[in-house]
Amino acid sequence: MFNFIIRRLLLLIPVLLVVAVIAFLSTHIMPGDPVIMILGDFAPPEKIAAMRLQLGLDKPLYVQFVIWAQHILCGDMGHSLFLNQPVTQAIIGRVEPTLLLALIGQSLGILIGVPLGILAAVKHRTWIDQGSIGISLIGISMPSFWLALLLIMVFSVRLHILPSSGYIPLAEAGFGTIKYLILPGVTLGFMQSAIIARMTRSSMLDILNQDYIRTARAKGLSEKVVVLRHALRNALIPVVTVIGFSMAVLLGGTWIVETLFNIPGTGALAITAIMRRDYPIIQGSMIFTAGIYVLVNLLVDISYAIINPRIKYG
Amino acid sequence: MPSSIPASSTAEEACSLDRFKKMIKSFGKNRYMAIGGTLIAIFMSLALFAPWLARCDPLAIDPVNRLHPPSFAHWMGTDELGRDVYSRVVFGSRTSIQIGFLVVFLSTALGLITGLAAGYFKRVDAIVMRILDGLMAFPDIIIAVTLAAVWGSGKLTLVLAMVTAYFPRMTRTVRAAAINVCDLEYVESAKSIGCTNFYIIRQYILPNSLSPIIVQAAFIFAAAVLSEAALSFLGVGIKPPTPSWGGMVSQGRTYLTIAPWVIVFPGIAIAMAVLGLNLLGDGLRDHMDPRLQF
Repeated sequence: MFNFIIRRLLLLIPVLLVVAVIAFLSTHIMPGDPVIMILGDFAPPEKIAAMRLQLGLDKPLYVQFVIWAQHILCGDMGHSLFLNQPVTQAIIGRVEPTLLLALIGQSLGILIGVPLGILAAVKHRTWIDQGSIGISLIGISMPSFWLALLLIMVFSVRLHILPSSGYIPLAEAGFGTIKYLILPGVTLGFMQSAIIARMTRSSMLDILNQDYIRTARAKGLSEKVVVLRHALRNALIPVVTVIGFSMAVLLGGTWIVETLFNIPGTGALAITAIMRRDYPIIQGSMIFTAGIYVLVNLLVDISYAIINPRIKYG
Repeated sequence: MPSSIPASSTAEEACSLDRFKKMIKSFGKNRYMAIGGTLIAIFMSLALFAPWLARCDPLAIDPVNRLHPPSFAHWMGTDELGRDVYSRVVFGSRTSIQIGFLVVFLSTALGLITGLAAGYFKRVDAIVMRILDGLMAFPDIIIAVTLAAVWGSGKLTLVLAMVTAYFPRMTRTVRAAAINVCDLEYVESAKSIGCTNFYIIRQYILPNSLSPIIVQAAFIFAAAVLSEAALSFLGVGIKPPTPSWGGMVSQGRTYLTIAPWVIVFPGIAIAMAVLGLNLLGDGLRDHMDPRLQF
């Protein structure tokens, strides 16, 4: 087990290196000169040269990368061009709403998606199955921003029961914070439940076709016992992996949903930075998001190995 | 006496009933593909025949008739500049289809090259897979948004940003299919009689990997339509006034309270087009290779 974790951690190194290269290149391969973009077209040449020196843009690209990567490794992601704040601080200060939103979205997704997927698989090829496939297909086909706007239209504009935007931190509002997270949480949760339901259904179907299920049925066990005791336990193992995969959609979703609902989270920070071309924040946000995704999938892999004894640790 | 019916006839009856049931079942299974196909056909013909189907110029501004609700003159109402929403939805399909096709074509091309190389040449595999792992650590929409914004506006940069986000999926599909085929005996026999690598890839690996590639292409198309809408919604995609479904929802959201039709119809168009592509992808997957069902 210990070896497995160590090996898995070592495998992270190349992934994180590539992540860093992508985050670096995505803001360095671009048309236009960032210095002129910051200072404007009519800046005096000596000021441009000074700025270029200050940002280290006078060095070759790979040297810039090495210097940049060294800073990142020391926890220094640079300074925002607009916020007058270090990038790390800016991101950490906005983690709370994103974390809560992701938690609500993912919990809703699991609570709706897993039972729906199981039901669909057990009632394979009946209207229940077809209905739940239909709903989850519509769920993954709908743009999240559109669903969010429809929810705002119904619950904020017509019924006046939930706020359409804004956020009050947990420390100030306590449980009142939840009010601001219901609509965005439901938007993300619906998308997640659609993905999770689809994958739970197929993993459950797969398991229902296994030999040991046939054996269980042949022994004369009741369908309830077969489904709940023999199939479900095994089907939940791949669902854990699904939850890891679906994090990608969830994290991407928070970028859009936070912007839409005006929630000051890390996603909204990233989108604002993109609009203003605040490169240090863009790079920081990319590394942050990819880092979370990689970390969650690492935890998923490890817990997967713990739950599933068939996985070899070697 | 019920047992007076000859045994053979019951058996025959049961057999034909079985066949009938099977047919119904397979029809039920393919019904998704039928619905998907129909949706795609509607979507394609909207794009092809847009000038004939649209009832007005999608860019024609009519300030007197701003934000009119759906009526006989304007089937889906008018937007904040008095433009006909129906005509804009019809022309918006062109934007989605163009971008979708380009993204699918380029990511398939790139995915084929990288995937075949990784699947066939073991030494390339490790490098390609590490790069892909890194790329796939980013949620695809985030790659697309960031690159589209940083690279600047324009259809081409938008497409390239989306290709960067989606080609890893194709590479993985191609690689997995290629590895499967590589282990088969006929590839070994081709190697043993001295066929060149290029010949083996072209004659054996590629044709036998085709079905998962086509299925993946349908899903990438769906993802591309959806993310073009999201990018245009965020303001880094297609620039107004060119009609784009995501852009229409984005510009219409200010008038959400007084003119919901401005966002409802383009949203339905996005959902239906993407649903059609997803259904088609699911159906093709079940049809072409039932083993791929997971």
